[in-house]
Amino acid sequence: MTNAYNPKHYKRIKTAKSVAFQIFALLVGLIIVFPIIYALCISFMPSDQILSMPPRLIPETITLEHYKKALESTMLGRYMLNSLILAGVSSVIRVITASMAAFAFSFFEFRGKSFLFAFVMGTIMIPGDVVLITNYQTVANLGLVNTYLGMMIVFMVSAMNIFIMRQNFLTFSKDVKEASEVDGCSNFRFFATILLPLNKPVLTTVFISAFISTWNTYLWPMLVTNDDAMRTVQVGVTMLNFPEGTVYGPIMAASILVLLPVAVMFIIFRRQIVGGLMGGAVKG
Amino acid sequence: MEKQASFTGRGRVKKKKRLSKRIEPFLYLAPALIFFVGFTYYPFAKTVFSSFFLVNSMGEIREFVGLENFISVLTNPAFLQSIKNTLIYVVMSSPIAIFIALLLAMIANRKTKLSPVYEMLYAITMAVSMSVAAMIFQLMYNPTIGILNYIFNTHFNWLNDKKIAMIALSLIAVWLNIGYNFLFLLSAVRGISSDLLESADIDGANFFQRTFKIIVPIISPTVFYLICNSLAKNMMMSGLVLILTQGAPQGSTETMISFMYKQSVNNLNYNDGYAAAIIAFIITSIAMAFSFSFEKKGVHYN
Repeated sequence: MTNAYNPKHYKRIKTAKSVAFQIFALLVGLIIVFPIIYALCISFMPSDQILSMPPRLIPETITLEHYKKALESTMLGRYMLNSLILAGVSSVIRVITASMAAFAFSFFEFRGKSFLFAFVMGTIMIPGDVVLITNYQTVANLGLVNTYLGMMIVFMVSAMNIFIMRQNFLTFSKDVKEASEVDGCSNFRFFATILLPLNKPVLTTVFISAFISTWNTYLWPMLVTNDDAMRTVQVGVTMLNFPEGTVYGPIMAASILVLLPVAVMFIIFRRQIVGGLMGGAVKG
Repeated sequence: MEKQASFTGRGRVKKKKRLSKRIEPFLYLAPALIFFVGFTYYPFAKTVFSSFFLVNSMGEIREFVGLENFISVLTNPAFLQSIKNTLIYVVMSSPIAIFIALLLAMIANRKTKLSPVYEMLYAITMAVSMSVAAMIFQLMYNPTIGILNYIFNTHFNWLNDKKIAMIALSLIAVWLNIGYNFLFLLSAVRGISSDLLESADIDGANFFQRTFKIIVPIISPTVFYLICNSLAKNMMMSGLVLILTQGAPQGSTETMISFMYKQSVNNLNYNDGYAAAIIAFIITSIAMAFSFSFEKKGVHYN
């Protein structure tokens, strides 16, 4: 403090301030994720400690018993497979339907184009929950209750995905398109062999965000399945049955197992996901 | 367009090609349009249409009754309470989640060595599903072995006390929405030019003045988007109710959509179900229109 104008000294104060600030920011982060930390701790804690009074957070001894129980004495593994099929297949289909529609909207001139674009974007105004019951009747009439197709069918297209892809395709050079036409390349070949490979980032973005949102979806899969073997993780995790007294550990273990795949995906692909969100939401 | 035509041949070939050219874009659009018609527009039209008819428990339309279904649900105290509950839930959860996310975005604004770590911690709730959050909070809310009562030294029966059960559900929603809101606000805050913030620093503005007088007006389009987004999302909430409370205690946590769900799926009463769905849709639209009228006053583009 002797010489405030000493640049070295000033720098040291600045660094100390910055370190203190970063530790503060980190602590705030730990408070935000506290529920996840709590679930993690409980999932490794022996049952008698979970039930101890006062409640404790840090396990005295660590056990994997709850994970074993969650995987062995329930159909969690099957639920995970179901969710993987639902999320994986419907996200791939979403990428296909969205990229095709976006291709039409960005590279063709045709009658009714602006009307059809408004028609597509208008679906955003109709929440899925409002049409839930009627969609259930449609799926039931098609005989698709308790099938993967029935679970997927309402997730196969999204206006937001079409919008994001169109935004990307519109920035694609028209010269390349014209050059490919001169070379006698059909529109479909241009679409499949030039446009899509060169737009991999947006395809990834759409796939990942579609995967996370379908993996996490609850209400629709619950409505169209009543067979235990067809349940998804999100429905299954709320219906796990364990003998009273040992219930909390395995449920927290199951919750962590359900959360883990998407949390990892989210951490790895955060940049792409955020890019996709902003691309869809921020107006020009 | 003209250019494309010039590459096609002449005479009959030209005509044929033109026809295939004309339908080509529609072939690319067809899959998306079929799904939109089949699972958004058709069911919406059918829901609206059916709400004016008596529908039997098989879902078959029986008899035109005009507005009777609407009058019936709107005079049903259980549904009226569910409207009130939904509005309380929306008012409690939407602004708080945006406010907390804004504070977090202000903290994470400056890039530091550790900022990728705490940004991730602030954003991660976006990856958590509603049902997993419900299971975790159910244990945290447990009146005896749950940790919340212990931390805050309270004796709340969180999910079974009709005065606080809806607040307990709102807290879960706040937590779940923090991550999404944070990511938007962070990129908005980081987009503000540093000159502007520096000049505020020179003027001696403190953290809160800086946040609410300078930053919020600049990022108001993002805030507005988040308000609309969470309005639409939270008005349609039903999952937390169906998993955690089933509308109990004494109907204090029933929402419009959980009412709709239970009437149609559990009781096969589609008359109430359709009418509730349409009313939920109308109320959400009104809320949207209301926030758009606010947009004119409070949102500064550019």
